[in-house]
Amino acid sequence: MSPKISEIEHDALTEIINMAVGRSAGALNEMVGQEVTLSVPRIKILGESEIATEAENMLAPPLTLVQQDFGGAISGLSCLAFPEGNSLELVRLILGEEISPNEIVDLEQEALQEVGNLVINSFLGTLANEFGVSISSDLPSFRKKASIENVFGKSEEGKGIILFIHVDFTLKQENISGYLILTVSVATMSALVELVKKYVALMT
Amino acid sequence: MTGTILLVDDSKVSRMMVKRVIAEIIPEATIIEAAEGEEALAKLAENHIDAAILDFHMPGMDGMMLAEKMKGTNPSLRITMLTANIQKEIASRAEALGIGYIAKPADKEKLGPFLKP
Repeated sequence: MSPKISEIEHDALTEIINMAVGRSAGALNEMVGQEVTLSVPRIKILGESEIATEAENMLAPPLTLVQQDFGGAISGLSCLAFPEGNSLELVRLILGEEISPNEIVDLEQEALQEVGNLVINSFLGTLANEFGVSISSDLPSFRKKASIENVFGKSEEGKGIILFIHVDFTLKQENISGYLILTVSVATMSALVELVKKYVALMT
Repeated sequence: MTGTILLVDDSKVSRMMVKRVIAEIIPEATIIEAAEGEEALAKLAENHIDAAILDFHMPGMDGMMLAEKMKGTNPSLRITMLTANIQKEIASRAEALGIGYIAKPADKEKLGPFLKP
């Protein structure tokens, strides 16, 4: 973790991220009506130029992606990614058995944007509430046949440091899996560190 | 019991899911849909609406701004925000405006008390 934060601050950040991930899983569970299991969030501090490599090591294209930029007290990029075969099955779960296969294909984009909106905003909302700040987000955008590099690989190489959070989730009954990835921008990393320090100070 | 409900959300899928929940709570309800704020205001002006369910995050006018405009013309209209944005700030703004706040996804337990107070 960053040398700029102490062990207890690292623990606090991990705990807040765990809460946020739990809230996202809860929202997805309510939406699809079945248990959602999660990996322990992987939290890394990376150089900007390392992000695409890191993501590519975890996720094989083609992927279906829902992407949402966020700003306010902290800014960055969040992304919900599914292996392509999984996304239509998830849409079927959300819309119910009465929807025809053609309708599922037609509604895939809107359905996955709604899933992304719910999962990502549950995550960001928990961070905002715990830190006592406001975080706004753009409307979700959608990509098919994409790679993570399409989303995160565009930043110019630099020496900036980015917080990279990666969580795997699985819908047990349907064997559907996906990934939540969030990066905090270089510009607001120091703001995030300050928020963590204040959070810890309030607890001690 | 609420008869005619205005459902405002830019996501067709979200509207489909909410309609399913409304039908479970009030099978005979009439649901009028709008995908954005201006369309919602026009439908409010054209119809007798008993209650309105608004998404917060929409292109153009957001749900809070829309609720303010609706309250301006229909002060007694029952309105709730239905949003994925779980930030306390949004819930507080809804409370200050005198409208409800429900976190997505909608279900019978959450929407029931609003639709059948």
